[in-house]
Amino acid sequence: MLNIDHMTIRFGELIAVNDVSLEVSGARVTALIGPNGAGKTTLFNGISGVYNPDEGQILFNGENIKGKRPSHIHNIGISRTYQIINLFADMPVIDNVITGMHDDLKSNFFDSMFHTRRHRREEKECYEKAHDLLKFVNLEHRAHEAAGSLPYGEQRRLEIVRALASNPKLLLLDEPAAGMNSREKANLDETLREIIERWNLSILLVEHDMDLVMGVSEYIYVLSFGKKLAEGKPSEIQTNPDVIEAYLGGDD
Amino acid sequence: METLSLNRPRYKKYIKFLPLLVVPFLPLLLKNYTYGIMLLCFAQIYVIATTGLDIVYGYTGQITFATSAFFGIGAYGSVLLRKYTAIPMELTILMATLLSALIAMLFAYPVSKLRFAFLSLSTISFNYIFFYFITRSPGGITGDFNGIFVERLKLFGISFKESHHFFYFGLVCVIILVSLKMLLVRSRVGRAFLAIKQNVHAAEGMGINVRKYKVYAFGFYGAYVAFAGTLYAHFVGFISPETFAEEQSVLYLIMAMFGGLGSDWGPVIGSVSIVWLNDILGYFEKYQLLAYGILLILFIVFLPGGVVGEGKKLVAKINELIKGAKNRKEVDAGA
Ligand SMILES: Nc1ncnc2c1ncn2[C@@H]1O[C@H](COP(=O)(O)OP(=O)(O)OP(=O)(O)O)[C@@H](O)[C@H]1O
Ligand SMILES: [Mg+2]
Repeated sequence: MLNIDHMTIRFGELIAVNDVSLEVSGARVTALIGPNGAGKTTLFNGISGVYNPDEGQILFNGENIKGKRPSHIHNIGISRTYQIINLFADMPVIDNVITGMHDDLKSNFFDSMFHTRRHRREEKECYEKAHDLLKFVNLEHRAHEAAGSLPYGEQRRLEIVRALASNPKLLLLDEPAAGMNSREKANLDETLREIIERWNLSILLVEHDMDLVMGVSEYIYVLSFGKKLAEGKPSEIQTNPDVIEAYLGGDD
Repeated sequence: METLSLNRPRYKKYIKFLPLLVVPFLPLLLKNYTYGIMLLCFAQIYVIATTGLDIVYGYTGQITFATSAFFGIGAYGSVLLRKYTAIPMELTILMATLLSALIAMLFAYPVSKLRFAFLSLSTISFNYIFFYFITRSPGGITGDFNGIFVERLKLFGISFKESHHFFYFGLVCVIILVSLKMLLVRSRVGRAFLAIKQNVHAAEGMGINVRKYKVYAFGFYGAYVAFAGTLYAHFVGFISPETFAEEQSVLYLIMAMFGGLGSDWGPVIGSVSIVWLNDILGYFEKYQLLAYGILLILFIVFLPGGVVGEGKKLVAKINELIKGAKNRKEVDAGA
């Protein structure tokens, strides 16, 4: 599904992502871990089109998506959430979700200006679908509140369903558990499994919470100072001396 | 909040619009005050222009100081086509409107990549370039600084020369164009505009081609403003460059901001109020620009939401107070 081939992203002198190759496929969770500043978010930005990697190739189902617009990459099936919450803060919660469906709606300018039958049918459908999605993450009661007024953990869940609204094939989650309380974290585990089952998609997960990572992922990549340090099954990663060294040697 | 209004009986939703029924009778009420009817006609023209401005600024969040240039593209476009070709006025108005939309889109394509400050700078330059061309036109076809006399509005054999006739034509245009905008912003396209205004990065990340939609927003803006410009030219019967100068662009922004950005009624309230105010300030010509400057600062500081925005906030506050009082009563009753 997703093949990253020798990706390098530089910020001036700093090499944030250094010659990293990885592969994500199947209806399962692949995790990307590493100490703070390892380059995980930068790698996400490289995949989703926010940055155009300096070197390397990114193949998604055979299409080279390096250098494409973020909207294009989203619309061919790669959806994401953000480490720093990136909602439409003043929009109602439900409109945030519907905005995620933008490309799936077929109403054109004419439909939009004259509220044709197609527009009305589509609006009705997407409101129903959005309510369904909100129910999925227990946010239905918040549908008409401004997204920015929600507590942190709820905003994270809203980001997840906004990303799911477009029925992606690959979901990139950047620290979804950050700021969640322990009960929310425990539920997240279950939510990720349900997402995979219901949408039959692949998840690439960046997360610092090791219980969550080791519990849900089937395969793990470890980054450190931009370089790929290790990869393998959770049991292998947990006992890998380089990984232990990177985490203990780091200052977190 | 939304769900409540959906459950309310339909007629109640429209009750607040009842006072608008008086609008068609205004020319009769003002029969002995032709000047007042004329001001209303100008207000209608500005309502159309600021409605277009609201699409690009209020909804899409792209500030523009080029409104009087697009107003001028409409005005000069239709006037010159009429003067130098045999095309009927109905078509010259339409052609100038579409031409302006096209120019606005061509302009927006490269500049839509720019951030706020650079975008606004480029719109200012655009207005200056336009002003340069109409004042130094090839062969003086625009009348340059002297201006140019214009054929009065006559469509499908009906003359709208008199204010009390133009008023009804203007009213129909306002109703159609304001309604179309209301529908547009409540659609997939309108959601994309709003998403761009609120958070460009998230909008692009959620599959909205930001550049494309900025270009579209400018297209609507160009069309609305230019159409208003064509009406202005053929209503007044004379156009000269100062109407289309950069300073005038600020006036449209004041109207939009005073009424309330990103709202249905903001452009209407803003245009009518400012036209009326402008008329009063007209007696103090020397200080007019000074007054605008001060007004703009006052709005930004004290009325950031405009009349509509601040009004909504007030209503919400009052509702909350009432609700609070009710709850307290219920608690008291329960105890
Ligand atoms: N836009 C940027 N310009 C310059 N340097 C950047 C930029 N974005 C990230 N960096 C740097 O690149 C490195 C990798 O940052 P990145 O955010 O990808 O790390 P991360 O693995 O996501 O860390 P964390 O776990 O703290 O989120 C860091 O040293 C960071 O300071
Ligand atoms: Mg990060």
